Amino acid sequence: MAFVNLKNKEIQVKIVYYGPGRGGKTTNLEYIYKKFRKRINTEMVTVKTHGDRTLFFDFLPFDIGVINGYDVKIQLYTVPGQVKYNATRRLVLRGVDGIVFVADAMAVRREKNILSLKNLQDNLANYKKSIFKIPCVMQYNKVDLLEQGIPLLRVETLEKDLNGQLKRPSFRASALNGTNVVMTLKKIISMTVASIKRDLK
Amino acid sequence: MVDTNKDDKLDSEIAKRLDDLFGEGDASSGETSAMKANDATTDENKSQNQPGQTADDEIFELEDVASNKTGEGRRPADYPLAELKNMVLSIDWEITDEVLAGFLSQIDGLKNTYKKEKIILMFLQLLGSLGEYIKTNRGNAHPKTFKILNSVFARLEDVVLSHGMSELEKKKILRTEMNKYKQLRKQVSKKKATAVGRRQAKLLQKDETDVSAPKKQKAGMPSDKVPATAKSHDSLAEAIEELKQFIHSELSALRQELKIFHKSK
Amino acid sequence: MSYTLGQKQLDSIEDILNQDLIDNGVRCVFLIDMAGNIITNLDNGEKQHDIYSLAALAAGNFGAVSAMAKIIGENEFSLLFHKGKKENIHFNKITTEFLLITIFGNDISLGFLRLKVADSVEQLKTILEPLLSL
Repeated sequence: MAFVNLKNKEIQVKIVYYGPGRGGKTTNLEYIYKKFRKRINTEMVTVKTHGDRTLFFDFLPFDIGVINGYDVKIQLYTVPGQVKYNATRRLVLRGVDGIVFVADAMAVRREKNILSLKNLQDNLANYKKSIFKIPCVMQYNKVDLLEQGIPLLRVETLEKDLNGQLKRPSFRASALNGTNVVMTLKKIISMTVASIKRDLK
Repeated sequence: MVDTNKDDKLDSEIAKRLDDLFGEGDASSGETSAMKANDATTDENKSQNQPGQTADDEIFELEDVASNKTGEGRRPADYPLAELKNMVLSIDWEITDEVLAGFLSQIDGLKNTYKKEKIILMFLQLLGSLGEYIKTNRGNAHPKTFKILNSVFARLEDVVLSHGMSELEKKKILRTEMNKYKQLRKQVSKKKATAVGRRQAKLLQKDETDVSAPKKQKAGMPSDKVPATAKSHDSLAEAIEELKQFIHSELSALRQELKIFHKSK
Repeated sequence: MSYTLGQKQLDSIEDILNQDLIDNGVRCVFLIDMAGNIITNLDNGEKQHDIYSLAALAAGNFGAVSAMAKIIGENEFSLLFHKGKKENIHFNKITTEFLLITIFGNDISLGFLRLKVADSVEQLKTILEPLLSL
């Protein structure tokens, strides 16, 4: 839930990158942080295991400046993707305004994507939020692996599995190379801010 | 109602801002197409949002959990138990040599201050014994020791701060704390007996099962701590005896006074 | 980092935790690694918690607090403890890889618990440290 500070004319927007373990959520944030460090000017916080798996969350806040008289601050979070961290995921989802669902395009991860999306739906419901209403962008990550000959799911399959009912904007991406990472980010920010503004009226 | 014009303006402003911030942004791969241009939030009615939260600075007054409610407001400016109270609170959080030494030193000092007030002296003696017991046994002290320490101190504070309290009431309070202290002593003895029994059983087992390979003594095996524990028990016992004798003598004196009072009527 | 614990080691760990903590009134104790995996957990039989969620959250919590410490210029905090009305929870790091979490009621003072935990940790280190050098 967006935090609006009427005194300081500030809006804080929480966007969570969700998806199965090792799908590329953290890599998305790391790419953004690395590429726009000078412009963003804030530090990225990570709480991870020794094996570099997200343990609690990754966090990257930045300011996008004044829009309609309000200073809009974006807070990007990732959740830990491993199944056993469900309680932690639920915690990080608290107060979420927009979601980027980072699906793993590798063929072997098909079921994990579906389970993760279901898990997202359940966890949102815990906060009485609907996956059908919350601003959301789908990202089909790891397209770069095609060049290495690793079997990937076809976009049609991913769309059918994950986006058939939701019908959200979606992007084929490579978080490692940066392909469509920023497009995804721009899309979710604009959708989320627009949604918040509508709600405030 | 949605103002389409304003929305478009907002969208374009956001897009422009993001473009400024991130530029073209993406790594060059040529495949930057959005699969669907549908902004799919068709249902505009979100009931759960609470817009317009005011950001008034709310200053929460944190409860001073350390304040003794009975003492609050009645404490004089030069409250003699202030430092001892700090020590007691510190012991509750962390037991170190420094804190225990400070505690016992405070007790000694206060014994001097209150040398003419027997009941307070007895309270201090109780606290001193408990302190010595904790100091000697540390982690092997009975868990209830600390609760009793807090309780004795709280009751001491009541006695010191309440000017209107009769001697009888003070003695009653002291007796209650004494009983708790005796209970603790019983439990400590029991615990010690059980521990000794367990050790003996283990030793017997050890003799039976492993004669050839000497095992390392388990860390924390308190065989060398028994004398220290016995010593602390002795000091506890002495303190209890003294208190008992004091209470008996005072009660006899009271009975005498009551007899005289009734006779005079 | 991977490690293997044999039955004998696990038994020793449980003995230490039972003797030092459970027998002294601690309600529940669990030893986890920093990723939130449970190595062993013991309780006094009174209440059953969702220990898997607890473990994951505890690890995340400890990780987050450690990150906070670094931000404010501390290497680490010496006390991580949460006080509840009836139940309290205490965290203690063992080497760089493990966490000892104890849940206890108000009948045990924090100071006493910290002493007992310190004792346990010293003993547990002798079992756990050799694993890290493998």
